[in-house]
Amino acid sequence: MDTYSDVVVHSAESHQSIPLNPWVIGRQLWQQRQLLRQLTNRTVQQRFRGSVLGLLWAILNPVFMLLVYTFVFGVILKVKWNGQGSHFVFAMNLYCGLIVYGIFSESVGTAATQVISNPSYVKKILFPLEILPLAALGGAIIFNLFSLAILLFCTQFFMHPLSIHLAALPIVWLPLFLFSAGLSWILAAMGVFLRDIGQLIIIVLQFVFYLCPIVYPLSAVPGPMQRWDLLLNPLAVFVEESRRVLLQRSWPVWSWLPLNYAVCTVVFIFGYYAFMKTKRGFADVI
Amino acid sequence: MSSNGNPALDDGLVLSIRGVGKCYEMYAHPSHRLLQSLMGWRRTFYREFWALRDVSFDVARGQCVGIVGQNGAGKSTLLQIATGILAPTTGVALSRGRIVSMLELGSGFNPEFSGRENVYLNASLLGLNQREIDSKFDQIAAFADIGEFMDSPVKHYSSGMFGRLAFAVYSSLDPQLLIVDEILSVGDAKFQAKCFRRIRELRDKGTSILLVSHSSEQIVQHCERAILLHKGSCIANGEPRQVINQYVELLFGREKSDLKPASTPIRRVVSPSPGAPADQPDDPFFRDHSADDLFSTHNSYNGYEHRWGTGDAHILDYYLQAGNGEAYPSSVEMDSEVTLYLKVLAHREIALPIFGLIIRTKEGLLLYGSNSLLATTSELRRPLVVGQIEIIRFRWTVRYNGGDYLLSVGLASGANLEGAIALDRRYDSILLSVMASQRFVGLADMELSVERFPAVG
Repeated sequence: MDTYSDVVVHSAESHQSIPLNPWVIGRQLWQQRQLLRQLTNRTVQQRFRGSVLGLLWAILNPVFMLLVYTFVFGVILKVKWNGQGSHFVFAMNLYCGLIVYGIFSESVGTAATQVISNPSYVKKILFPLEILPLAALGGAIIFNLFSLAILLFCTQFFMHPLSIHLAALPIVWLPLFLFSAGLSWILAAMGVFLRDIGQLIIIVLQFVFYLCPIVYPLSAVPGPMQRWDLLLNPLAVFVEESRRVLLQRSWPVWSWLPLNYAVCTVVFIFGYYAFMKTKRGFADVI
Repeated sequence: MSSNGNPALDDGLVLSIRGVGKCYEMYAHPSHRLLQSLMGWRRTFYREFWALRDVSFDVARGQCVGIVGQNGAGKSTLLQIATGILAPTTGVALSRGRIVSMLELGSGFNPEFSGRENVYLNASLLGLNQREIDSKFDQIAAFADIGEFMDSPVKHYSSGMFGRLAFAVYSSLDPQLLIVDEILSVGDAKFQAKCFRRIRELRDKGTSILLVSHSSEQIVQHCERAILLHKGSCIANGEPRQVINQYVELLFGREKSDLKPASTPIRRVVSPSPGAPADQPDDPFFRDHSADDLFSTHNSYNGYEHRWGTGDAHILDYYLQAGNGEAYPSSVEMDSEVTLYLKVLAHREIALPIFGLIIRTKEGLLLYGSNSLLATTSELRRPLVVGQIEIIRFRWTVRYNGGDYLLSVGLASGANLEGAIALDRRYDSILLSVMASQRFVGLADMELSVERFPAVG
């Protein structure tokens, strides 16, 4: 009777210890990969299900957004990228920032409602709720990979051919994923107990957008504030590093990486811990 | 069994609920929850609500346990704790093996997606991998029986199709414990029968079942044990029919009072009373009238009767007569007429009495039930006078097949059935055996006729 192996205990105190080792967390999440894939698929498909153009919107959307931003900031406000370059160079730099911001905002922005909008997953079935925010992140990554493909296509044919530096992109983006996941978990858990979080996060994301060197280069920020922007706004680092790798044909600033990885891993672990710790109380509240 | 000092679970058990209680913190306003977490050490911002208190029971391997109780008794909370969705405030819930919980059919379904996509999504929600789902897909599709609709969005399904598909997915999992919450009441009779057939198959394979139902018949037919929850506490745990009787009493009865032996002096005994029928049998029942309870002195009396009511009037005795005139027959024949006399005595004037009869199978299946309000004219509605013994006569024809049946008799008062107050109800109090007929199989005699004609072209 192998199926009768483990006794599961439910009581007021949790008998399950929450791992703090990122490897162990990763392994636990890996066990849910099947479900995660299904839910990520669902996130992606749900967005376009029923529309005539379907998945084509995943490409049309960023293209139109890019046109609007380029028109407003490049043509009307005449923002020049480091005081030089064409509208096209501006557009590509902007686009690069938008992709990084997109991954972050599309996951973190919906995190607060991930759990409360699925009450039956909380109350009716035994569900690994921690993968809900991850599925949103997965969806955000897939959408923005479409954008990345467009970006690479444009640079290849209109700027310069693809370079070996592209290989560093996963190294640059991994902490972005960890950071987004950690923050999503925190917000998803908080959103259950305090519904106002969902509204608040929209405003905060607006701030983050304009505080980030997305529509302007980091160098446009006055000298002493540059440091603060980098320190206080973790997204700024990702935007700058992605540009370096994707557009400037150079390697990331290696010296930033250790701190970057350390901070993002801590956010990831803390987020996971906070979510798992409060998860047991979700069903009481929803 | 468990290495880290967890409480042990006997090998033969799949679920053990031990002293489980659940307290909800009720906040008048969402902001109070925030206040509570910030400054809860200074004062309490919530009201406690105990949905469950100190509930304990076990479910053995392969056993089917029913849970009954009124709305709000804590049934759903208990199932949520058993499933592991809710953490109990006190006590522990121990379980072993895969638990599949049908707290709501199709809660994980997405209306925009096709049936096929939903099957895959939900089966992986329940812990199956791609290959396992592939191998079970045909079986699921066959049970759901929705044909080519499998590839259209679930939002276009009828509720029946939706229910069938959801049940098909859940039940395909061969769990150790299947938890079913009242969901089977949604479908039509055919769907229900199909579901119960499937549940029986699972039981034959060793699956234990925890079944919540408002249908007494389902509980009595399918469960080996039943649990009655009332206001969060487990007030009965035992043989299903007895538990169901207690539940029915909770539903319809007022507070149960101890039925003391009648103390009302008999004022006037008319024997034979002027209105009594001439064909009254010659039996002490019709001659000797006392206020003593002689009901239990007869052979066909069922000692496991469930008696309840306010006690303002009593059913003292009964007389059962077969169609051939035999008194207290050991069995009666099909198509014969059975007569049942009840002797009643009121201790308080009963303005609008109702006399009722229910026939159930041994298994608890309700075969027939009616009463003086439903079946007769208003002539019977004259008051019962204090101290006067009256005799009530029920007569019916046996139109059901051979077997053992239990008769329930009741005396209530009220202008209509909804507001009726039970005075003395004696559930399952009289045994009646019917000799099997060779004419048909099944319970009810539909008097089938079969004819045959040559086809004339």
